[in-house]
Amino acid sequence: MNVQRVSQPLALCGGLCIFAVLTVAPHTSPPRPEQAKPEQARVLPLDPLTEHEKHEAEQVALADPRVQELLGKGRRKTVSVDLTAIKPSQEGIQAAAAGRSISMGRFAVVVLFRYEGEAGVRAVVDLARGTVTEVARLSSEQIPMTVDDLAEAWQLARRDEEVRRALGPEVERYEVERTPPKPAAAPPGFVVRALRVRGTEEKDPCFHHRCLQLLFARGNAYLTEPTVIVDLSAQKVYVQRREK
Amino acid sequence: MSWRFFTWAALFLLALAAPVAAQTPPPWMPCSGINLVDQAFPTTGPEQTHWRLCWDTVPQQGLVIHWAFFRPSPNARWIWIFWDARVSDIFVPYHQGWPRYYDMSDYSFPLTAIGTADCPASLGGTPLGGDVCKQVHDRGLLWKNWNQVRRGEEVVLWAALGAANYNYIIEWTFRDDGVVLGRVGATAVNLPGLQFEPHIHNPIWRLDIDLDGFWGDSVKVGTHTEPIPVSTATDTEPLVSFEGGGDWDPHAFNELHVYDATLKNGRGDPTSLHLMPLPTSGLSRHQEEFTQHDFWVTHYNGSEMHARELPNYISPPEPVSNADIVVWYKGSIHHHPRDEDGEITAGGWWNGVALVMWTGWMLKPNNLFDRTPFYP
Repeated sequence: MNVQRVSQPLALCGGLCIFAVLTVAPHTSPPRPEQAKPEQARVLPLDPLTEHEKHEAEQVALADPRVQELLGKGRRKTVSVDLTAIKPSQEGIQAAAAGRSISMGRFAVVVLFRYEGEAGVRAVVDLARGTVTEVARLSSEQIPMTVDDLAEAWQLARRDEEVRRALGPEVERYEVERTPPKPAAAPPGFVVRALRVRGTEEKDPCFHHRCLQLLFARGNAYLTEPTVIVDLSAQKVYVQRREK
Repeated sequence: MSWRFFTWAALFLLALAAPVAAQTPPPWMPCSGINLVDQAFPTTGPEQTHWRLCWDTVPQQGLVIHWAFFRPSPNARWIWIFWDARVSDIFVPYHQGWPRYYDMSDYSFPLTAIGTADCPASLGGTPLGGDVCKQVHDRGLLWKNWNQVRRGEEVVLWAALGAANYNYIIEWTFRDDGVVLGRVGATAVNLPGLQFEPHIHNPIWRLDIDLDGFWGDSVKVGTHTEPIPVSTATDTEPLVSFEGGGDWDPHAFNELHVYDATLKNGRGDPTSLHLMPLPTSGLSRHQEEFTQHDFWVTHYNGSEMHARELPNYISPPEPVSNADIVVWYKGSIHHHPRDEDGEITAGGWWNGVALVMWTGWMLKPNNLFDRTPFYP
């Protein structure tokens, strides 16, 4: 049998090429966690929204005519700006599973609240295009309370004579916590916290209104009486004491 | 040197590279930095299994998992498990009928800060972003067989929602054997003023399980039947054909089995994920309609995120066989206050904390591996 000889340089080149292909091919083990390098400096589709992106999403939403119509011209506030993901195509999912980067877009959900009539708007913003892709009206009960609502409720409550009597001379020391206490820090001094309450019967003002129950903490302890409920819709304060 | 030398050299190099080449490439992930968890097991020695997932913290929904892939062996392909997994709400009705709190959807509560005391490095902890803890650690026995034994490991992500007087620990565990555990723990301070009033914390998870991708998934209800006095038992899996709610029967060992239309393991057996309840003492029912079932199956809709809207989401019911499905699971923590929760001190101050009480579920692979994992 006549075997054709392969030239030495060609064989060397072939061997090295096979080695090179095998070592640089994508079929390599991912780095172990302790060795992992930061994947990419740029923002990926499901990385948390940056402050700049949140601001941008809010501005895009507020500029949308459909949002403006639902919001009206009166007093309003931004409740939240959160990241949302929209599922890519089946081909996209398969490509990602196989290790190929895919285009997913980057979207934010902006929730806004209008005080007049107490209603909300949910807008989905395409951050890449700077457009609103979806707008929906929300009822008052679908809009969560925020620390701004708590601050407003506390301003109302601290002017109430019965609340002032209950909290005594320390009433002015209570504050609304804007950020959670740091780890290992001393317990916060005098803090007002809140839970949203809903009436269970139609006749209860908080059945339809936006109401907060205020909790008064001093260090780690909470005051057990009185129960203070602020009706933000009616701008009223209710103070209840348990029957002995 | 002859051509044979170079041929053998090339084959030698090929043989050296072969084990590396056999590994499947990692999936592309849409997150980076601390939001990407890439965890191989065991943590020392040659890799056997691997998790890759994204997480984020979302106001009102706490610690959320986006995308989760699992690879059962270095040579196997990556299997998609979750598109998204989150606690949708925590509903807390008090026994006297009022108040009835929605501790996640009614208020934009922040996460508490997490420090080294929460998340000690000595226990495999790494604080992430100031409010999340990642722990990689031993999880006890994986199996034992006389004088042979293997201990298991897991990666745990947790954060705590600061819901006024209460804190809720939201915990996600990804085990080396492909099991996922979701738990919520209620702790901190009983409701001031009603500190002795019993109540129930009901976390409701929204689990967007996309087994091997979002298309072609179906849910079956694992059901054990043993009609006493007959001595034999049977296990069946009726299909969930349309959206709706369902109830756990502990005597029937109910589980939800999520199948993909085509996914099979190397032995040709259909792969599924079994959602198993881990109730701590009971299953709640309240007047609110969404609490009147233990689980719900819905068709995926990106805007359907709120547990209390479930009765609306299933009206009219859409088909959920061979579809993009979402599973909702309700857990219950029955909290009957006790002296260990705290005491009233001078001036009417409530002082003390309720120790953590847990509820949750387990998502267990079935026929995902071809053989016993971590077995010689």
